[in-house]
Amino acid sequence: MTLLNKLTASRSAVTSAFDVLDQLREATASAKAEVSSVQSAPPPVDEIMTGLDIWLDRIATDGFDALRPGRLLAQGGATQGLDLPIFLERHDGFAVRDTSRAVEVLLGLVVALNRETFRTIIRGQIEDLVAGRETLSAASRSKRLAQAMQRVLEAELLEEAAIRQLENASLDVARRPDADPRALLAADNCLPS
Amino acid sequence: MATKELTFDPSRLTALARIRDAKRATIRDLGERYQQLRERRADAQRRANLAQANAQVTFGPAREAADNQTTKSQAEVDQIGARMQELQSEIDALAAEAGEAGMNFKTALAFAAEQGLTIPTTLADEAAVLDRTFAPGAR
Repeated sequence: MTLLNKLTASRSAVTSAFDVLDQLREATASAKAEVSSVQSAPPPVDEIMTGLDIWLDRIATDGFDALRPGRLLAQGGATQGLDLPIFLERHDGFAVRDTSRAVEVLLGLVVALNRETFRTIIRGQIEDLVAGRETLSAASRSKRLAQAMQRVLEAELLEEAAIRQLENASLDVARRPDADPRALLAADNCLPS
Repeated sequence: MATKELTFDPSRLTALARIRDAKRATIRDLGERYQQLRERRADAQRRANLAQANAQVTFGPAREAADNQTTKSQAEVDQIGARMQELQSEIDALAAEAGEAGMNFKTALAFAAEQGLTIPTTLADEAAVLDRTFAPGAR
């Protein structure tokens, strides 16, 4: 083999080593993308509706409580009726009606009186939003997340193994600034060969 | 791929510090070379100015020689300037790499401290800085 051929061969070995490293980095990036996709996957519709029901119960109860029906028990109280909680905020020379609490109470009352209609519409909207997307229950999310994170670690260890091999061959390789410290500190004999 | 039981080797910290330090040392070397080039360029610029001043007060062959000297020195100034620009780009790229290498080292050092690994004595100073940074009430 001539010197030029040797040089070309060694240059192509270096190039392909860096190509392999690029592929490993792509594998790491794709494993990380899997983690993000598992983290951002919505819960199943039924799970969302269970959560929604807790909120509906709370605001419906709160709505009626805020009307303070106990006032009706007082002498002549019933004829005075019930009030929404509207507060008067006094400032220098003027006053403002604060209706934000009253709006919350009204929403609670609307929900309480039309709960099923409200649920059906919201459920339909949620089903449209999650259509075509993978949904994950809390248990399966935690399982899938653990698997995905394990794959990220394995990819990072492969990448670190390749970098150390390149360094051993006196090639200068920059590590990713967000490299996993477990891979950076892994003992040589723990790295995949 | 099944991951083997992971064990950590604190001496990797030394390797990571060495990589960072090597990059920093190269930046320093390049910085010195940049400074030398700056001086050489100033020198060439002085010569070009002097030759130009001479050209304005001489005639005939002497003026021609002065003009030639001006052109030559100016070309040298431009050439050194171009080399300085290249060197600056090289320094910038290396500074980014040194920053990343520094980040790798710091992340690994923090992790090693968290795991209670024995930090190599040569890195005790850096570990102490880390302790101060993360100590309660340090901020």
